Amino acid sequence: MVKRKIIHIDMDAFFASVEQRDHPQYQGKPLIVGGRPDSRGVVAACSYEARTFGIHSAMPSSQAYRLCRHAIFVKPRFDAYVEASNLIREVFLSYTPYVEPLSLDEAYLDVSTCTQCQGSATLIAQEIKQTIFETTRLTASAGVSYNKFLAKIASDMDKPNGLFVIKPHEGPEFVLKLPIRKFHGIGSATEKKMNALGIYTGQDLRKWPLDDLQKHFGKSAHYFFQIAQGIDDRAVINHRERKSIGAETTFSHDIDNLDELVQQLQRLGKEVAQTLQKRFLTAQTMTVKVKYANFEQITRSYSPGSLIENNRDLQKWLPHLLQKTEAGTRPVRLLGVSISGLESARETRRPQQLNLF
Amino acid sequence: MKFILNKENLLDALNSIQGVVEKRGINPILSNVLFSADDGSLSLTTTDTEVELHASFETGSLEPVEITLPCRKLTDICKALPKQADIAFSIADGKATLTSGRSLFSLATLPAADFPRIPFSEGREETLNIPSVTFKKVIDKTFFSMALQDVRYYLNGLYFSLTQDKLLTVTTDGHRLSLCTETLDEPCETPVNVIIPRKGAQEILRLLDDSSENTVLRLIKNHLCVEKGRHKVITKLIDAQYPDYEKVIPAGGNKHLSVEKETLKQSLHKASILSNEKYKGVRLSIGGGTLEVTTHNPEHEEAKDEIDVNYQGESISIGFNVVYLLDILNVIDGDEITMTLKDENSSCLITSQSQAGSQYVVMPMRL
Repeated sequence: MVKRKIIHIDMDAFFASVEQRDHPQYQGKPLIVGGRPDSRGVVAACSYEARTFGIHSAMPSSQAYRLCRHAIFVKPRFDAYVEASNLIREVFLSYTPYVEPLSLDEAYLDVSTCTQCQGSATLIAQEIKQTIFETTRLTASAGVSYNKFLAKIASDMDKPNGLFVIKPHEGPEFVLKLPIRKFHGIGSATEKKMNALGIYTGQDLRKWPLDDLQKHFGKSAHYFFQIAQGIDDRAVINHRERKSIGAETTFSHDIDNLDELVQQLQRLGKEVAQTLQKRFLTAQTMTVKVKYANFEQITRSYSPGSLIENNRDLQKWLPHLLQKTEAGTRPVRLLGVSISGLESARETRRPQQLNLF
Repeated sequence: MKFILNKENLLDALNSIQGVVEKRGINPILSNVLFSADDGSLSLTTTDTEVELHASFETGSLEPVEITLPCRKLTDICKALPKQADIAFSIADGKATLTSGRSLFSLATLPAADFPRIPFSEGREETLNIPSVTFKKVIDKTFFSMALQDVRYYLNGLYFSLTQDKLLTVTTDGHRLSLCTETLDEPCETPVNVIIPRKGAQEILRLLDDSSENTVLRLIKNHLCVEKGRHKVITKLIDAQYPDYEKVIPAGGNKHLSVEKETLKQSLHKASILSNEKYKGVRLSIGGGTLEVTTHNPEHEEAKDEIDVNYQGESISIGFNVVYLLDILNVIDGDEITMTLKDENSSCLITSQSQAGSQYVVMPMRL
């Protein structure tokens, strides 16, 4: 296979940088975009000044406040972020049609066939960063490599306003030294599991044969096995299909009343079912997510065997799934409903087993 | 502690209580069998904490024994020893030493006090007597349509009811339902309505045979104990309201079809070979004295089979999961069965004169 050229662009502290750009008085100060410190909200983004206090995104705002009493808290202005994000995307598209956005502030670009800058991915990345800054006054970090996995790692190497290149011959060597927590797709749960097996770095991971990895990690084993050698064949996908539909809500106060939770669940289910029908889809599996007051989170899933087509199909099972949690006996902070296994409702109709009750 | 046991007695008892022994133990003691001796007999107990199995046999006078041993290893040792061998047990310092002939085995033990027992003694007790053959039949004829790991946890069990002299069992997985009734010679004074979980029902079934010997059922609080001879199953019960099964037994069917059971079974089996592997749908087209079974799969393969039936009503075409139909034909007694239908969206009732007290209901499949 011809070596590809992939760029991963990641905006630096995106939401916070937009706020600092639009409000010069915030510049150089610890800034937190997200919930108020006296609310139950969380940090959506924070400036680099705030990060020096140990604040990071997804941290409860109240905790961020305890870490830095003089931090500035502002509410997110999503319109402004979407606007900036659209400008950035236009920059990407002026170089290549192969753009895979991961979120508002992050995307993969496949520039293998680009002719600009004599086809040099490094120079293209440099130009993209420059153009982004000229059009939005925001800085981005770029990672350049020969696959998505390494490009993403590279963009994180030199933040903020960085540019880091991992050349094809450096890839395997580079992965060896890397702590596994830096690997995309290895979260804290997998990290713990790997640590327990004595895997701390890419080098440790590479010692494992595929068969053994499969015993511990099932479906993900193949991916882990490959990335340990710096191999990642995933293509840059410029149109991503939706895999699930979900709705969730964090309550303004913890709820321990089961009836109230069931009502909330029905409301969420209805919302999800509406999206499902609006998109002419059917689903196979439904999942209820419960986060208890102590932030412990569990999910319970069920595939009824027949297709989930509408609100009625969903409502029939949701209360049963909630029963499989400790909702009602433990206070609940967040409730969510999602459905997956989506398929077009217009596709050839599948047999449907009717129910007795 | 020292005692001698006959290999055959011990092996028979062990074989009858294997069903709940944990295979790869998270909790090691659940892989063990509890030995407790009293009054000239030895009682063996295994448990998964939901279902407890007991077997006992005569030993002659024995000093008190209370110890647990690894069940599978002990069973394998017994199997390996020669017929009618005597096995001498000696228990000391957390080890059980077994000697027989020129063989010696030293097994790890765990204290009997740690063995989790189902608390089956407090509360008011109801006692019933049911002949083994009858009890076996009502479970046998309905067990197959019980739900498996359904979120409606009460469907993962067998509904068991006794009102005066009428014994009734029901199972359903929401797509099909089986109901079986039997009449007892001796009426029972207090009505019983319980849901026996799958595992418990399975072990009870294993205990029963076709003899008319009485089994003793004892109900305390949320537990059921079934005793037959020297064997005993204690199971937790599912504490829930069972769905209103009477409501889903169709009454409005006007299309009656009778057919030879074996003929229909073979026809369905033939067609099922080319049905969709996942959904198992087949179409039954009935009219003019014949029943045609057709099916096809995503690979565009097709099957068609026609048989003669006794049917005078108007033509009807209806889809079913073929497995559901075959399951019924595999348990129902008699050479001829009757199917009662209403329309392609309504449930089908299957009955047999040779098994008058039973009703099988299947919901159709939209193909």
